[in-house]
Amino acid sequence: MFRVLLVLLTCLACGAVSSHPHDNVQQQAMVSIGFERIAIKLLILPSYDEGAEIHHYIDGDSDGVVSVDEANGFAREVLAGAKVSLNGQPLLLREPRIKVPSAEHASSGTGVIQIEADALVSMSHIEEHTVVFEIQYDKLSDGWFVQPFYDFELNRNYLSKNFARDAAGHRVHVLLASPRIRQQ
Amino acid sequence: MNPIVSKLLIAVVALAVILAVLFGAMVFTWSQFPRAAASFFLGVNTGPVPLSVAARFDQRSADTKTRAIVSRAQVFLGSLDNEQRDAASYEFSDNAQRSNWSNLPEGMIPRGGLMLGTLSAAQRGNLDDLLAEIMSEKGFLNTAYQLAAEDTLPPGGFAKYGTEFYYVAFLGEPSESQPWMFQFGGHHLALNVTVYGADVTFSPMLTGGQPLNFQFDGNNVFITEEETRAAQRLLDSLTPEQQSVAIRGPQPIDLLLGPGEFGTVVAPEGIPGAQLTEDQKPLLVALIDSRLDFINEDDNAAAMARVLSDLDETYFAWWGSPTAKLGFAYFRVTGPTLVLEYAPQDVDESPSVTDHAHSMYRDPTNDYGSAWVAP
Repeated sequence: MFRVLLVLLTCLACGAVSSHPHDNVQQQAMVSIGFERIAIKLLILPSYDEGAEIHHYIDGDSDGVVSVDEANGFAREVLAGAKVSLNGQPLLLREPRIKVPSAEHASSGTGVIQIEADALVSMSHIEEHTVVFEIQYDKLSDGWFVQPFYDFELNRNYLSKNFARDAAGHRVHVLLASPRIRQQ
Repeated sequence: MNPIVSKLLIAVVALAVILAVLFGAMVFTWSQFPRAAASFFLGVNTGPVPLSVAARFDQRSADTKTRAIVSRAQVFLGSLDNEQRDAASYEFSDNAQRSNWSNLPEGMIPRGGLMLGTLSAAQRGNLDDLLAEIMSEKGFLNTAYQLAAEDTLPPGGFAKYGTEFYYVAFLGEPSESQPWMFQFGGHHLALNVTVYGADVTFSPMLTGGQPLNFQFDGNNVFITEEETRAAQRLLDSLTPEQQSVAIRGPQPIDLLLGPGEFGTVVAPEGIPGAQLTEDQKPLLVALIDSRLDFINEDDNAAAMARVLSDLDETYFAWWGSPTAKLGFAYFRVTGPTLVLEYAPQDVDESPSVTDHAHSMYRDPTNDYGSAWVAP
């Protein structure tokens, strides 16, 4: 109740937020690949005309505030549409973390929903590896942009790093080849 | 008095008291812990940069440019009163302030430092002298453009617009031999300049602007014209086969390396410099220089030397129509020591001009001087 009132008061105090309104729902998946961890960050930016509806969707009990349980439920729903694998073996995405903007902020077209999760891995420095990430969650928008990143050590270790996106942009296939240690 | 009316009155008064207390608590929280409050209410803030900073540093020698920058910084700081100087000064290890920049306006992202609107004309003049020393002539003009563009926006409410809500801050003391950092910016502008002896890095740097098209000193200005024309020239020079490699998607995408992104290397894609002809390579160099040329001549030369040595491994990629109106496509240049992004906003409403863009520069090997300041 306290948080509800605070958010209500915030909304009353804020007035309209007019910077950077987005007119379509934008979705990015950032996949950071390291020797010990593959981290996923999903960014969903509701548009100003759909922000309230999306916030309402996450706010299961419609009390105007997204509770921790409601936020985590939404994170699990989105992550259920995400798959990541290493060398063909599916990986478990663990410890999802989510930030949901207030209803007011979501409705402004500037509030980002951020979901993070990671998978622990143990990649050999001397082998080639393939990492595949795919996301098919399309309840809010059917478009995703998936961008791979490499951590510094991995980036230095592999002389050849190639990736391909599928035509729809929902899936990336990363090949890490020519490990430096093998060249020596 | 009717007992029902009486009870209603008591309930209304009680509710008003509760609301007043909560409002006071909220105002107190926002005033005392602005970043935490913004993060709680808006979910937009970024945490401290996860950067390890050494406790002590070796002495380094300065060059002429660093000595001039330090001198200008000391003149500016010397013109402040104690309260202003305290507001502008942070420990060099303050990673929360280090990351305290954004494309979003003050209010949504509470800044730290000394507010531009509190400076006297003389102090503002000293700050301009410092900016002119740190930036190139073109970079200083770009900053002036962005500030002038900001002042065309309505003042706003919670989200505050206007150049008085831009901030200047120092992490560490300006020094010729020890590392320190200068920050200047606000809505759409973030200069993060780390100085250590003769070496200076400008990563991360956010430019772009909103609006991009406006009148400045009686002339029509399109703030990102040079970089967007340079990118278009490079794209137009490519053969159809090369374009099929460089063009990565039909629609512009959003910024990847904005506030809060640190510590990874974006996977390069597009066409590498190695696949460009000798006639095309200068166009890639011109595109890179159109952004790095905001940096003063001395430090730009050092940054460009690193970029040129890796040009074959530097990729150019484009998202959007190859024949889109100028500035309507996203493009990215990715090299071992460089990522440039240009991300236009609100371009699917078919406006006649693009009037809102985020331009990022990062050196993934030396963001915030990480290569120099780590233990």
